[in-house]
Amino acid sequence: MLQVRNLDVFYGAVQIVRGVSLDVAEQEVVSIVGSNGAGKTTIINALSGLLAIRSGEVRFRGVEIKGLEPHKIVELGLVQVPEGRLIFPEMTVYENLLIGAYSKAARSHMEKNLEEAHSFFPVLLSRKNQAAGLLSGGEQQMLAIARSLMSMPKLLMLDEPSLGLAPLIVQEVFNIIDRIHDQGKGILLVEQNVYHALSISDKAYVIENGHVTMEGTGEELIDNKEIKTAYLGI
Amino acid sequence: MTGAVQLILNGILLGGIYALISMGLTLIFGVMKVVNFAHGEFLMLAMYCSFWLQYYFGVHPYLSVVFIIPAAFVVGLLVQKGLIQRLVGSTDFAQIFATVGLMIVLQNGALLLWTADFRNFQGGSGAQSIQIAGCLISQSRLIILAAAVLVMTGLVLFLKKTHTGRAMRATSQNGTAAWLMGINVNRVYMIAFGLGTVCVGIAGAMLLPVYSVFPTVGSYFVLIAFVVVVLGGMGDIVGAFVAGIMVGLIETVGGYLLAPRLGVLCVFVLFVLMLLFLPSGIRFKKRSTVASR
Amino acid sequence: MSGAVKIKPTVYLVFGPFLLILLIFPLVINAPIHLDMFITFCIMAGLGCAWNIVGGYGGQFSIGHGAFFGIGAYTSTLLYLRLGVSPWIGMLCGGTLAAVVSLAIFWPCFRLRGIFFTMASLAFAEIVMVLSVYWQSLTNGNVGLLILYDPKLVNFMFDSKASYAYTAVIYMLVVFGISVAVENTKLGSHLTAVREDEEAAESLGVGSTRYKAYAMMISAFFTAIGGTILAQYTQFIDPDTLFDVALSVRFALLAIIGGIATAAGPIVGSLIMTPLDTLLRGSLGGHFSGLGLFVYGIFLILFVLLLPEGVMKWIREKVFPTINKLPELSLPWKRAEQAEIHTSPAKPVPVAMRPGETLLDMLDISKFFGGLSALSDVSMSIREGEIVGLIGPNGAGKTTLFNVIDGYYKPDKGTIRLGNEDITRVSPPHKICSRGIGRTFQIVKPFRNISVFENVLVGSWQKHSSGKAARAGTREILEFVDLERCSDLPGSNLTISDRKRLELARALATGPRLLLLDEVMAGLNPTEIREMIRLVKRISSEMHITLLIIEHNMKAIMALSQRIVVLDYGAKIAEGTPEEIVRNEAVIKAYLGEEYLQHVASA
Repeated sequence: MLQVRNLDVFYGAVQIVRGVSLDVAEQEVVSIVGSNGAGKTTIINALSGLLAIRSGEVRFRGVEIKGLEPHKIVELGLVQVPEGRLIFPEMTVYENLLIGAYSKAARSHMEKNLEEAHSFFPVLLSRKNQAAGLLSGGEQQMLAIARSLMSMPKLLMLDEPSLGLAPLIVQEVFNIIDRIHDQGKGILLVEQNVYHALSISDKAYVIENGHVTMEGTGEELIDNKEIKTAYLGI
Repeated sequence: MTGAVQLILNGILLGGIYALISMGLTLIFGVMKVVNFAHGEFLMLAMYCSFWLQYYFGVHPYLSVVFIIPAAFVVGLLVQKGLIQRLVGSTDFAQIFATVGLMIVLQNGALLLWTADFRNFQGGSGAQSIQIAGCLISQSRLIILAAAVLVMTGLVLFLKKTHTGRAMRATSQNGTAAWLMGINVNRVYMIAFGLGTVCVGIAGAMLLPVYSVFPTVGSYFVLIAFVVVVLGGMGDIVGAFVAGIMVGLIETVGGYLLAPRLGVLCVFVLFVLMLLFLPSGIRFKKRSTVASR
Repeated sequence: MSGAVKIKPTVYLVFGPFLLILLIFPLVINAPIHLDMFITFCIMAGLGCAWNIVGGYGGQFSIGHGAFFGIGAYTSTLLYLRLGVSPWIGMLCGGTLAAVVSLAIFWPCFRLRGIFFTMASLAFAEIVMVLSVYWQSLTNGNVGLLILYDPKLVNFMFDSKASYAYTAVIYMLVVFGISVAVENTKLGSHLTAVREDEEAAESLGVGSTRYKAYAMMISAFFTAIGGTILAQYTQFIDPDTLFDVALSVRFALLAIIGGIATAAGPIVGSLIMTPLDTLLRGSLGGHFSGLGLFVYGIFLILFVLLLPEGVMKWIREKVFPTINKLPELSLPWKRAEQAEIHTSPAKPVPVAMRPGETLLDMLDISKFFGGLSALSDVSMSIREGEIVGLIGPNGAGKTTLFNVIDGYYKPDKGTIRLGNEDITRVSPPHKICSRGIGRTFQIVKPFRNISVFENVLVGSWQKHSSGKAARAGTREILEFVDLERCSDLPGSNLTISDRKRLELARALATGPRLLLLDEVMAGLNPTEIREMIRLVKRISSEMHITLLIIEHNMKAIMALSQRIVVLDYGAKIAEGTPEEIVRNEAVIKAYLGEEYLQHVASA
């Protein structure tokens, strides 16, 4: 579904991502793990069109998306749930969801998707008219995911969905990711929480200093000693 | 007693003018975080437009709104595409001096074309007043106040109820997230700037029966508009309306207590004081510090 | 070193001849039109230079400088007309008044973000204008004031235009000289640092408000003096011309066209704009009033968008290097013997404490952001000479702790002691820096538009008082971190690894006792990380600086730290030697998740 070949991304003069290649097949859960500053978020943002791709190829469902504006990429069905959630704090929960259904294709299915989102995240229905900025961290993360689902993605990219959340909520977020996957959507997950990420992944890539240093199935990597090395230096 | 009521009425009516002029500016700032120092010059252009429409075709200024709205929208789009788009997310330096440059170009362009003469609305209704309980209310100022209420209501409804309006609010709260939700942020910017220009265009037409038009008429109003926008909270439409009325009241009452010409001084002193002691009133600044944590 | 005096080609081909023209022009040229233009050129160039001091070096974009200009013109004129005070004295009074007023008005405004400062300056100019119009009994209101022509030296009026021309030349050269002086001293160095990044400047001990205020006062003073000179020359002043926004913008425009924040920029700008202006006004202006300013506005927009660094950038990069290829001019006489400057290598600041004593002591530090606790009851202490690692997952509160230590945030609870002093409430950060705590930033903040050398010099002033010593100290530090190879490059041109070194160098230059390093390894490749580890070790062993290090790169932190403190969700969850930390279950849980532990245990 998503094919990335030799991706190079720069911030100004500084190269952050160096020749990264990765694949996500239909209905697959793929995660990108690695320490802080390794370039994970940069990869995701480049795929979303927020950052310019210096060189390399990115095909999503057969379409070359390099150089497309972000909203075009969303229309193709490649949607990101950004790090830090970035909900619209001064809009109500309901309005946030409506914004998720902004693209033309999604707008016509809005009613149905809204119902689905509410059944998926009952808490969002009960807080429908509250300003999103007043939600708790976990609820904001639910809203961010629900909002992205409103745009009917084929592949959902989640950037650090567990960041700053209490352990119980983290568990809930991962359950939700699992359920989204069950609905037949592809998932590309960037996570610090290695175990959680790997345990639900079909495939994972380890990124260090902008390179892919390891790849394998989630299970393979969980048992790999080097993962622990990459994170704890032992 | 009647004197005091009259004074307050005058203040509110003056405030209506300020509110009407400021709402476009605050909309543009809220969405794009660009301060347009040339905002007053769009007011000036609209006033001239309205004046010439009357001069050559006998169109009453209130009617000229029909022509000015589409014209202002197109001008806004062009300026946005040609200049302002490059300033979004740019340095303060570029924002300030590029729009100040535009201000000077438009002012002197008008001077070249139409000379420095003061030109006035032709027709008597500007001076007509209605009398209620001993208080005189200028008819044309009342119409401006009504227009301000209409524009405010229109903008608020647009922002709350339409897809594009919601996209505009989303963009103003978080541009990155807006892109990620499939909103074409650049298109939203164009619409926002076009709408902001339309608002000030309406103000220009409405103002003609009350004020003379001359090339630098905008630079007086733009300062007031800044005060109003900052006071009301940058990007807050209703805030701008309320602040506009407040500024009108302060100017009128201050002018009465000190001297007519010093009324405007009270406003600027208030402005500087507010920038100094109420920096948290400037929400833009506050938000950026929270985000930098 | 001794030898013949050498003169660079740029000096004998450009600056020398230019100076010569300035001096000869008024003698040779008699046509009033040309002299007028010459005088306008000089006065405007001087005013541009004056604006440039606060607008260019200081980055405070005022478009209300016309107010100072007006204050100068009105003060000297009123003193002369009403009290018979010589305009020479009036000029100084006006300058002083403008400086005082500028301080009173703008001191609090310096906190404002750029755009608000500009609005405030505009409002300020409007206030001065309204007052000048209103106070009719004193200023004659809109009608203006006429100075009767009475040529005497004491009256600041001359019978030949050439004398005015020389006055204007002197004015321009003085303001230019002041600009050069500002550029090359602590004031300019700090001012530029504040403009480029206030937070980073503060961390290097630069009190940002103070330097902006100095610049504003100097700028206002010379702008007012320009006002007096113009008033004496035209012998007429009125509010409409003095307080026109376009006039204020013109000061800025000259600096922008020539090259903002360069001493010669406004002069180059005036050299381009004054003849153009005269041309537009003289030949066409009669019929097309406004054309001159119309063109000004277009120039302003074009320059801001296309050539924001002005003509000087092009001259510096293209013209000067070409000219400098020409031979130097040798003069026969000998230069005075100049002793080589030797300064002792940077010794750490004498420390009152013996190694092993507690240097920094934090007790029960808590910090809340709107109800969320970013730090809760964190206690830790750092002993003299130690390297302490501070680790924890993303969002654990590590950087917040740094910000609390360096005074950027005030803690909501707890105390921080440095040696024997309670520094809990000391802020802003520059006061913490001057007490001997330096820091680097997670997201590097090089001063982008100034050279690496100038970057480090900003910190060096903190430790050295004389310019010579500060420069020598800078060179030593650059050598220490191995950056002397790119000392002339602008900060924005460095690779990420060199940027990290630059941050280190800047902080080291302030001569800290304790250095806080925020992820200096992030974004580096393995080779660079090894080099950085070596450098950090040398900072500890050779410069005897105590270190507190935030790091995500575990290999690095394990290799460096003698002791490690672990934060999670704002609370300290572990403390110990690296060996203890990697075995600590709470730490592994925080990093890899509880399930990972269980998984490993069951496997």
